[in-house]
Amino acid sequence: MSQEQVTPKIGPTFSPPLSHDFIGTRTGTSEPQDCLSCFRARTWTQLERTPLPHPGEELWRYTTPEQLELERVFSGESRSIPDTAVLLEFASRKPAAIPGVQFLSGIEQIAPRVPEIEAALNATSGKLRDHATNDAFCDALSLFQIVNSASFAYLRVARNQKITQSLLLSSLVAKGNISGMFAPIVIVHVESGATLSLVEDLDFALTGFFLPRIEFIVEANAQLDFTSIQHLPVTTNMVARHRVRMARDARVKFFHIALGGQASRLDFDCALTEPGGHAELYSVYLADGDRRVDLHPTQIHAAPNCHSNLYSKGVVRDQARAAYFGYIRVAEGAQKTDAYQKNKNLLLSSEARADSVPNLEIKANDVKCSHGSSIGQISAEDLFYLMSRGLTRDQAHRLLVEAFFEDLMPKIADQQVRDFVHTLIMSRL
Amino acid sequence: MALLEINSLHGGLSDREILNGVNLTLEAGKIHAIMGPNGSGKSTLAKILAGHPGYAVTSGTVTFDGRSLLELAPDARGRAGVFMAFQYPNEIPGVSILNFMRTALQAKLGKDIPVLEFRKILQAKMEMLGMDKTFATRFVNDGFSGGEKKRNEILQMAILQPKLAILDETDSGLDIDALKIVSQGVNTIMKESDPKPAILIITHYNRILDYIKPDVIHVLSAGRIIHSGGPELAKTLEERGYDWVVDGAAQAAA
Repeated sequence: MSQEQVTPKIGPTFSPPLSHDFIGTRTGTSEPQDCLSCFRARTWTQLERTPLPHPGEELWRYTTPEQLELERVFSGESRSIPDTAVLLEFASRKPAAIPGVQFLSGIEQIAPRVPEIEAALNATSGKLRDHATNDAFCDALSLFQIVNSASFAYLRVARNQKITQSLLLSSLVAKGNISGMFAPIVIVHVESGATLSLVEDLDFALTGFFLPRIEFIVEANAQLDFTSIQHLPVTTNMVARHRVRMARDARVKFFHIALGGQASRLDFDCALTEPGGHAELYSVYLADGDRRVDLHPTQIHAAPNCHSNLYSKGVVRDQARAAYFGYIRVAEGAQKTDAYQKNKNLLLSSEARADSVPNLEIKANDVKCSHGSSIGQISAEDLFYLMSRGLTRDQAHRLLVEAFFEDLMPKIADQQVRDFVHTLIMSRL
Repeated sequence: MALLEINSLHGGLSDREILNGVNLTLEAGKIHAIMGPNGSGKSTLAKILAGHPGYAVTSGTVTFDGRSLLELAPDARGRAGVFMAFQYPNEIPGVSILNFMRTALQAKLGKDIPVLEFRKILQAKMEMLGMDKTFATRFVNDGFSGGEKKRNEILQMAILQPKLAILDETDSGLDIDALKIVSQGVNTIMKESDPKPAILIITHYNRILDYIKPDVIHVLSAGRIIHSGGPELAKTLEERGYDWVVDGAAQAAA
């Protein structure tokens, strides 16, 4: 490998000194890893041609590269933290060994799966992506993650396997204090007719940057429930990228809970690529202190007769700021699309701020689509009513915030998961 | 010592003075009614006593249970034993009556009450007031009828056992059956409580006074109590209206 310094084409703000050698050191040279090395090298070439995130872009307007400290990330000084992911039973927190569920993690185990991983990561969300605009899933950050990641996992549920209990995707680094960049890549593959309920609980003590990527492939008639619980410390900045691709008659339910991180951003694409898909997408977020929450969900209807419903609710208090930039994209020919997107914010202080921008892009003519957003405050009359019964202002706020989230909580089907999430949210109020 | 002593109370909305020197003394175990024409300041008095943030006191004192009530924030008044049954109770979807009242009682008593234990308290009170058990898990006033909202106020009073209960036009908007039920509830609380609360009924009509018998009736006009009398005053007011009291007071002042 060459030792010369290579500078990718970049936006005007910063220029990262990266070395080709970097790829080699990430993967080593042993035989089974060659495939991964080649993938990284190809990605590297792509990265060299890709401009870095720039605050002038719409996609980086709300939480800027500066706030995320991307300059440090791209400097390469923070090499990605190596990790081995583990799959547990949610209820017992014991390792899950379930017939029909294949789970691979660590470079050695993953190597044979690299072609599938490469295909999954490189797939675009179909003809719908407007490549004139920045695509989060093939931008410099995503490419850099592939080059740099030291944690891969692959989860597959075999055809027609119905996994009844919730599984927990966890990581080994999660146990102690870690610093630097943690950039795990996970592929979740639910084969046709299979059912999976998966939870991730992100609560490790990371000082640095968290850049997770999960690709979900949900085959025909398969069903996936995914709950992401993020309660990272304020020493973490993060950009999470979740992408799901659904085949014919697939059903998914996603529930994102964002409670932590200093600046936390989620790029979430849900693509319904064949007829009959049904997606329920929920999220709740709580921003306090001077934290920032930045949500970028996109429902992509690439096929006719699909249904998607996104409902996102957030509480913003202190000097925190939340941004919501959502999209429904309906392709030409995706007739009888039924798609909704709703974002509601509750501001608890006069300094808290929320931006809510839902967008529609519809290229079919026989569709039902709507979007809505609201930013409201707690009513002074409601507050007085509760306080007149002896509740302190904090107790009254707590009840009203709990009430605000109340209609979404039942969407978490697994009672244990729901109770866990509820307790966690209440502990933060 | 009286439970509540209001001396020369002036106040109202931030830009408009409504109370013009109210004097009133209440003893525990007594029921007082304040009647008066629209705009006389009845509801303003109730809201000022409860500490509504939209109202301000310009002068005067209110002593409650030996301390200055006006210095207390609304929640501290609630914990100290002041309760106002709202004229228009707020609808709070997402907050169950059980959760709300458990939090309130815990705040008042300053100790944790296990859910099971509180459920028993709540059920006993609902039984006492002849209320359906499903009430407990419903959201506070969410989709309630007018009668249900007022009953919910009385249920809260039964649970919190205040020293002073102010019923702000609790009779308004109720049909006669609902009025009877709510009144019976108040009477039951009065009978079962030990020590007994002082009750201040704010009303425009004397209808409620057929069911909750007051010890004293006051007439409020233009922000002052201009006349006080026994329970028989209700009947006189019904027959002769307020004009004779107002005119009489004006002549006395002249």
